[in-house]
Amino acid sequence: MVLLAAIRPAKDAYGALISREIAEKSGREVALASVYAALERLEKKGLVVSTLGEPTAERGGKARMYFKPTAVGLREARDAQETLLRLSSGLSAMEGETA
Amino acid sequence: MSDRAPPALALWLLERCGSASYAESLAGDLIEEYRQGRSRGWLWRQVAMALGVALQRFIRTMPWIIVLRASLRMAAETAAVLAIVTVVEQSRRNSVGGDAANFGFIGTVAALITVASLAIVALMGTQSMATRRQRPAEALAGVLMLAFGVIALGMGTFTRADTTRSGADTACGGADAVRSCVDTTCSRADATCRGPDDSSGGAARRADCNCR
Repeated sequence: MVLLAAIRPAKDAYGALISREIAEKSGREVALASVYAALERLEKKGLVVSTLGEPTAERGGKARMYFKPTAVGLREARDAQETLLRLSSGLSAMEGETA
Repeated sequence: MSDRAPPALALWLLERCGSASYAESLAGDLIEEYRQGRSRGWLWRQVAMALGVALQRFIRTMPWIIVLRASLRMAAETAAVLAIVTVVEQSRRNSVGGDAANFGFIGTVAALITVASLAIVALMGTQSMATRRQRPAEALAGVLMLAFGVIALGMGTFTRADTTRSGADTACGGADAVRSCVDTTCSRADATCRGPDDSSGGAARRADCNCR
């Protein structure tokens, strides 16, 4: 979910934004620390890369950490999506039978 | 966006105890969100969860295998040194006419050797796991602990040997023991002397017996 939320056309995915995106799309509040921990694991696996932005006064002089999916990360996300679609095809069939 | 100050203690805790790799960015995100209208309670909850995540990670990556290896090594070395001390002690007792076939002694040595062997086998079993995780500083700490253990147990052994020797001295070997023997003889003489004195009267006459 974090990897999918990090995939954005504009390269501005950072912790708070990813957390907000997940909360909006899934309706579940996610702790920022959990998002960062997940992103760190994804980075270790080579699925995302991080870059540090400029420190700003609004952030108390602290820099933002931006995350961008790698080619491998995008492929993994695509594979996960296809697997999910294949697995959920049974659900549609079952709903057709019970309807 | 307001410029209200976030709780300093919460940020201090986060930067001190949170995960080093992203604590600063996370703190920046929290400050930004807080200034955009999030409550103090929300910020504190986020910090508490960040500390929880950091604690979880610490427990998961804790070098428990190193602690286990150090304990096993200590157990093996202690058992081995105690076995040696017991054998030396028993042979010393035998040389002064003790019982050679002491079942307590044999049992103790057998138990100590078993403990040492089991600990060594367990140590060898954890070898591959430890080499995968051990860092140079931890290896150095292990060597220092080993040296400390050997020195401490060695000193203990020598102290014990000295104590045993002074015990032997009491059997009229050393100067102190001689005095004590003389005193004993004297008090016997005194007692003998005191026998007749008792009839004639008291401590005043004790000096006549030439006893101090």
